[in-house]
Amino acid sequence: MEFSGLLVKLLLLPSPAVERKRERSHGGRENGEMVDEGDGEMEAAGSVCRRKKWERKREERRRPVDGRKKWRKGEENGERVEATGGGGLVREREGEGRAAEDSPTTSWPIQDLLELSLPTSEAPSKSKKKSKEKVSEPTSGASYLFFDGGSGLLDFTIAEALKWKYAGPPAASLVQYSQPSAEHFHAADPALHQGISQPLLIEESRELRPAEHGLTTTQNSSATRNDDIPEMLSFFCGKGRRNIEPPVALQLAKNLTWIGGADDRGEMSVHQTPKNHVRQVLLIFSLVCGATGVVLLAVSVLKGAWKDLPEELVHNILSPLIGRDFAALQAVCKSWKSASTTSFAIRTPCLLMCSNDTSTLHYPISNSFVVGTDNDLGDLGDKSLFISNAATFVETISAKGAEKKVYLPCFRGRGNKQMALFYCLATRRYKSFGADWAACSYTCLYESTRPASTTWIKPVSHHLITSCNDPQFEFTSW
Amino acid sequence: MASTTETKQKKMLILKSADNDEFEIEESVGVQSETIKNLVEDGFTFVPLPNVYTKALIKIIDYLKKHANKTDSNDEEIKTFDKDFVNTTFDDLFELVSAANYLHISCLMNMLCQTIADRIKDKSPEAVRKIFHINCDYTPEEEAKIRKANAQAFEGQFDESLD
Repeated sequence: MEFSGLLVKLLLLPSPAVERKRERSHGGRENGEMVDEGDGEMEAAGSVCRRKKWERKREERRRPVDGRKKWRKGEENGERVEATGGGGLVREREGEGRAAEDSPTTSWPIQDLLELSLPTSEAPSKSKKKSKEKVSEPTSGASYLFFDGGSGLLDFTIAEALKWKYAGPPAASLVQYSQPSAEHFHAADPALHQGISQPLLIEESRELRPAEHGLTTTQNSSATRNDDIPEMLSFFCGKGRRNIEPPVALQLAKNLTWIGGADDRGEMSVHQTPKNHVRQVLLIFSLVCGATGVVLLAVSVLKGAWKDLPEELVHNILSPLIGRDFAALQAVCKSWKSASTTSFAIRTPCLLMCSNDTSTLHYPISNSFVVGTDNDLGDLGDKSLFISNAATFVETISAKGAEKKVYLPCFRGRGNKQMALFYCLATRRYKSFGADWAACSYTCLYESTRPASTTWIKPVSHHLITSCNDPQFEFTSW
Repeated sequence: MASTTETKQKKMLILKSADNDEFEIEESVGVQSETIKNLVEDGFTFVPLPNVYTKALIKIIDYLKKHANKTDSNDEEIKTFDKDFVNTTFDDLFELVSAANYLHISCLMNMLCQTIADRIKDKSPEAVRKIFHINCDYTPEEEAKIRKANAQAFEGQFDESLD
C-alpha cells in the first residue's frame, strides 16, 4: 500500500438492516467512490445464498434452545467443511490480501457454525462454569470461551477459535476504499439500539423455555390431559350437587337479620350506646384521615410527585439519554437505577464490561461473554480479541503493537477522522490508533459510531499503525 | 359542497377531563390516541379521562388537532408548533407526559420524553432530584458505591440549574 495510513480490515456480515444489495468497490479508492465489481452472476448467486443463510440463522435464533446447551463446533476441519457444505455454503477463498493467514481454503460465516449442532459424545450440554474448567488447550497460553448470546451460544477454545480464521470472505466481494462512507455507518442512534436489543431479549426468554430434549415429552403430556379436566369435573360432580342449597348458611343468615333488627326495637339497648360512640369516633377519625389525605394529595400534586412515575415512563424518559448522563442519573434514586439497568447494557455502544477478577469480558450489545480460563484476560500473548455482534474470536496479530487488545466494531470520531476503537488490556483503557493516541474519554466512547452490519475491525500492518494521519480502511464483506 | 357535507357527517367525540370539563373533538382527531381509539372502536362517543386534567388536555387536544391534518406542506408549521409545545416548565412537561402515556399517543410520548431527556442532560443527580421532586432513597454508602462504579460519569462539571 502506498498510503501511509492505518490499514484496518473490516469484515461485514449481512444484517437484516443491510439486507439490501450492498454496493461494492475495490482497489483502495481515495475518494471513497464505490464501484460494482466481479461478475454479475456470481454476485446474484452469492446474495441469494446469503439471504438464505440469514433466514436460516433467524430460524435458528427463534428456536427454543436450552440455555445451557452449547453448539459444539467440530474439532476437525473436515467435519466443518462437510457440514457447511450441507448448508450449501461452501465458499472458496482466494485469500487476496489475506496472504498472512495460513490454511484453510474453505471458509464460512461464523454463524454457520451455529447450525452445525454436532453434539459430541462427551458433553453436549453443560453449564458455563463447568465448561470454563473443562477448557484447557495446550496449544495456546490461555484459553477462552466464547458465548454469543445473540445468535446462539458458542463454546470454543482458543485453539479452535484460531482454526476458524474468522470466516474469510470470498475474494469477489473484497471491498477496499479509503474512507468509510457515511452510509456504511450509523451513529449510535436509538433505532439501532432497539434493533440490537432483540438478541438480548431472545436470550433472556430462552432461559424460561423447557430444555430442548424434554420439549416433545412435555408438549405431548400437557396437550392430552389439560383439556379433559373440565369435562371430567362436570361429569363427576354434575348438575345435581350444584343445585343443593346449603341449609346451614340459610339459618345463619336468618339469625343475623334478626339481631340487626333488634336495634330498632330497642331490645338490645346494651349494645346501642357503645356502638354510637364507636361510630362517632370512627367518623371523626375518618374525617381527620380524609382531610390529611386531601392535604397530602394537594401537596403531592403541587410538587409533582414524580417519584411515583411508572417505571416504564422513567425508562422512556431515560432511554434517549446516553453516555455520562445515563450513568450519572442512576444515582438519582433506586427506581431510576432499576429502570435504567435493563437498558443500560444495550445503550452503551461499545462498552465492554469487565468482571472484577478480569477473567470475564461482557460485550453487552450482543450479550457475548468472553471468559478467560486462567483468570486473566490480560495475557493474550500475541493474540487479540475481535468482538462483534455476531460472534467473537481470537486471532494472532502480526502487526506489532496491535496485539493484546480487544477490538470493537466501533469507530471513534466523526467524518474523515474516524479511527478504529479498541480496548487495551494492558492499560485498561479504550484507545484508537492514529494521531490522537490518547485514551478515549467516557464521552467519546458514547459518541462512537458503528458500522451498519456485523463487522470486525483488524489492523493489518505495523508501520501503518504507528504513523497514520490518513487512516485506511479495508472493508471485506460477504 | 362536498366538503361541507363531509364535515357535517364527521363523528364527534366528547372527552371529559378529570376536572369534569368536557371537550368535543372530531373522531379523526381523537383516534390518534390509542386509548380513545379503542373506546371508539367499542362504540363509545363519550370518553371520560379520569387521569388527565383540563390543563393538559387542552394542550393535548391542540396537539392532536395540529397533527391530525398533517401534510407535506405544513411540515414546517408543525415543527414550530412542536417546538413551542414543549417549551414549557418541567412540571407541565411531566403532566403532559403522564397524560400522553395514559392516552397512548406514541408520537407525543416520544417527543416529550426526548425533550425531558434533552433538558436533564448534563444535570447532576441532585439537580435532577429537585426537578423531579424525588427523594433520594439511597443510603450515603449506596450512593457512594454507585458513584464509584460509574466514576468516569461523575468527572467534570454538571449543570446545576433547575430549568
